[in-house]
Amino acid sequence: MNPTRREVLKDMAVTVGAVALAASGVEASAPGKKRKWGMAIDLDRCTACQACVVACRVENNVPVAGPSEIPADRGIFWMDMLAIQEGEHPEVRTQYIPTPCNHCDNAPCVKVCPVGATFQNEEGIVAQIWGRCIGCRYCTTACPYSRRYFNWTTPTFAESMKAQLNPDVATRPRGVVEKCTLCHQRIRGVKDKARNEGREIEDADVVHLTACSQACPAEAITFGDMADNDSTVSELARSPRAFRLLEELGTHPKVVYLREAKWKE
Amino acid sequence: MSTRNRNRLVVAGFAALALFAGGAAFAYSRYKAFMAPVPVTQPLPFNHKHHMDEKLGLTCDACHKGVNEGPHAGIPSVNTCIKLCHTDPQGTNPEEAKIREYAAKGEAIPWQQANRLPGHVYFSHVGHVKFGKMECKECHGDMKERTEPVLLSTTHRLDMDTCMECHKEKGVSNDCLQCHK
Ligand code: HEC
Ligand code: HEC
Ligand code: HEC
Ligand code: HEC
Repeated sequence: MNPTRREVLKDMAVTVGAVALAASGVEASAPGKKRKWGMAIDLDRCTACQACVVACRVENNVPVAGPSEIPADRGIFWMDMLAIQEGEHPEVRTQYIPTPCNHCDNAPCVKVCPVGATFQNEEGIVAQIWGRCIGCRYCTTACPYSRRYFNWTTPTFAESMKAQLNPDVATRPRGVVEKCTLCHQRIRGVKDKARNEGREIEDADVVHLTACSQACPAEAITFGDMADNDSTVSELARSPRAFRLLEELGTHPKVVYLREAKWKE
Repeated sequence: MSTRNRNRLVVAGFAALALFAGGAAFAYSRYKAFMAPVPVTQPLPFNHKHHMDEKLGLTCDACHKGVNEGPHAGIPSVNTCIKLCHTDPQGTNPEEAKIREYAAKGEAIPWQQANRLPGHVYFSHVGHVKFGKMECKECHGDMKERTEPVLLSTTHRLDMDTCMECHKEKGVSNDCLQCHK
């Protein structure tokens, strides 16, 4: 029923191979090229309104984190708003940073998973198969950005909210780790739609594809194919304002941030 | 070791063995029950053959419109049944009148879905039927000849291994995210 260990290992080897190929730039020019989904978040546009945080919860069936979860540090946020203080009192500034999973090209979480539940898919998404996860939480520990969340309890949804659950995303049981999937259910939808119309997907189909990006009133979040040099995200990633979180760790995040002021961590 | 002690040890060994075998048998029966298709009941004795013979000659996608559009095949609404044919009594089966009863009450016919994958699996009809050019028969058996309503899954043998086997054969991606959501 489940993939044998060998198959999982083989799949992982194939994934690593594909990533290595893509990284070497061979794939980018080949026909039927591999895509590499990524995101650019413009902090100069972001007003920290948290629309993305809410939209993400609704799209991905993330249970509401209420007063019982937050003090215990058990809230789940696929997209969170990180507040970072800069400067010394009395001259402090707070930079708010929307933080989805960084979808690292060299992801520490993938390396530590003992069962192959988390992996990088063919298109660069660091995904998690809920049913395969054994809940060891090595990955939550390994992630330098703390973008992974463990279900400490069975997620519950208010009766009035049940009809609103997204059928394209499975709800997670207790005891598994969950995370942002770059709204891969929407990517699947847009692929089918384009194919039905007999064309390839274009940049315009995906720039505001993810729920967070779609909800952002300031259009601060851009989504797209990092392997395509002409896509809007690639263009933004080449901007002099661009930087990535904890770049020095060598994780190669595919979420790029943009900010005019120099970054002091 | 005394004979008595040895006997005790043997008895304990047998007891442990019996317990283990019993436990394994129990677990296996539970597993079988868990994996077996769940039978459903249907409100009307729908007859596929009747709708698809030479006289009516409907095609599958006339009723299951979704197969060319998206993941779900779909079942026609009661209004479609009424609009196309069932405004007046058809045939001789007295159950057929129920269609008009449901329509008069403004209720949907409560069909139950017999073919159902686990909630964490994504399956796409448009992907197989339109893009993959597969026939319904390959997975559902010959529905054209079916005279009984569908009470038991016809796709139940499609477990993960079978899905992946065919994908491997046909050179389709077996990325976990392709089939899981
Ligand atoms: C590759 C195998 C495959 C093929 C080909 C296929 N089906 Fe299915 N079908 C399935 C599976 C698996 C399910 C269960 C889906 C689920 O649980 O989401 C299903 C479910 C259904 C259902 C009930 C659920 C729904 O989606 O509405 C209908 C009706 C149906 N199929 C009709 C068809 C018709 C008509 C065709 C041909 C045009 C077809 N199928 C071709 C595998 C297949
Ligand atoms: C008999 C062969 C066969 C079986 C069995 C089969 N598939 Fe497929 N599947 C295909 C083919 C062929 C395609 C590729 C169609 C294409 O993209 O041209 C495909 C494509 C897909 C896609 C991508 C659809 C898209 O929109 O691009 C998904 C998802 C999928 N299969 C899931 C499943 C699942 C889940 C099962 C088991 C329940 C299954 N398949 C069983 C042959 C099969
Ligand atoms: C006249 C409309 C009509 C046509 C034509 C038709 N169906 Fe159906 N189909 C139905 C209805 C109504 C049901 C629900 C009743 C039942 O389960 O028998 C159904 C049920 C099914 C189911 C079971 C769905 C589930 O999982 O509960 C499958 C599979 C299916 N049809 C496949 C086909 C295929 C394959 C064809 C073409 C050979 C076809 N149908 C042609 C109306 C139609
Ligand atoms: C071609 C489609 C397909 C692909 C690719 C696929 N799966 Fe599955 N998977 C299924 C289907 C269908 C089921 C449900 C039937 C079953 O249990 O065999 C399933 C079930 C599972 C289950 C069992 C969950 C449970 O609760 O019993 C796990 C775990 C799982 N898959 C993990 C994976 C992983 C990890 C990968 C990537 C290596 C993967 N799957 C790739 C179709 C697929």
